[in-house]
Amino acid sequence: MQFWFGFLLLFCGLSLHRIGPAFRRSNFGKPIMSLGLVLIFLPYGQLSSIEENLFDIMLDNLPWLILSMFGVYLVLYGSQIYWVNISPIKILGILLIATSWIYYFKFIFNSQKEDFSLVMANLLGMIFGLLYLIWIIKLVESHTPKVAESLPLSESEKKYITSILKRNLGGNKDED
Amino acid sequence: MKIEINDALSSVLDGCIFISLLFLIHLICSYHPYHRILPLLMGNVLFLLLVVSINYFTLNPESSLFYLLRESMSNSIISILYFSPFFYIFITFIIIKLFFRKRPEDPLLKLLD
Repeated sequence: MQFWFGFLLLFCGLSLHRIGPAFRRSNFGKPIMSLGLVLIFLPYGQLSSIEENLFDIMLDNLPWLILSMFGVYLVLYGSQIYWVNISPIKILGILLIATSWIYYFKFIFNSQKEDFSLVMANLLGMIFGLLYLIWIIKLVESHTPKVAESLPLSESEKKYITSILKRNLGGNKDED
Repeated sequence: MKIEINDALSSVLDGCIFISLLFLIHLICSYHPYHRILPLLMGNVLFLLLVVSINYFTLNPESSLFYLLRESMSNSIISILYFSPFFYIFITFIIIKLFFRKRPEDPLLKLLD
């Protein structure tokens, strides 16, 4: 259970982080993600066959994924805006990316035992799911009632706005 | 042959279940007052129930519901891990392009010389 609870926390953390700084609860995104990763990678008890298989594959892939993520981050960090580059960081990033590819081809590429057709079928299912979700979002959006047009300004509102504009922008006093 | 088709169908449904569960978590976590969550939630839950029932009653009647959900999640995460190097090829290509990018010549700056 701890293993799947870790995944639940990881996905919750990702969603919370994704909603952005406009919502205060987005601050909890990263800590929840970290807690989820800890729960996933430090299993308390004996895992069953399904979880053990997944856990082993994740552990195998973890080194090259970490290397690649750090590499990409460093290259992006080194490529500053306004054309001011931090070349040593970029070079380090590229080296990490190269190392991740070397690691992948040396240790992972030949050891993968999954049936490629089943993997493709699974990805096809994910695409079907995504298409259904896009369709349902579009359907809901199209049935959302439009907001009614606001009424024109009343005489008192017009006077009030005119006074604000005159106070701030000046204007021709002769016209008053 | 029958087993293979069943396995492939089961894999397709596993992918649907995974995406549906992820979207369900995302909808709940990213709720805000200006969000019309109910129709999306209902549509997603109906889809999830449909996919789970097809998988449970038709393709895997001997396994338990909890086992089925765990298996779906596990298979989908493995598929993503298996397929991730293909995405990573594109990311590497973009990163290499970024690495060798040079500042384009600016005609306005040239006028200053």
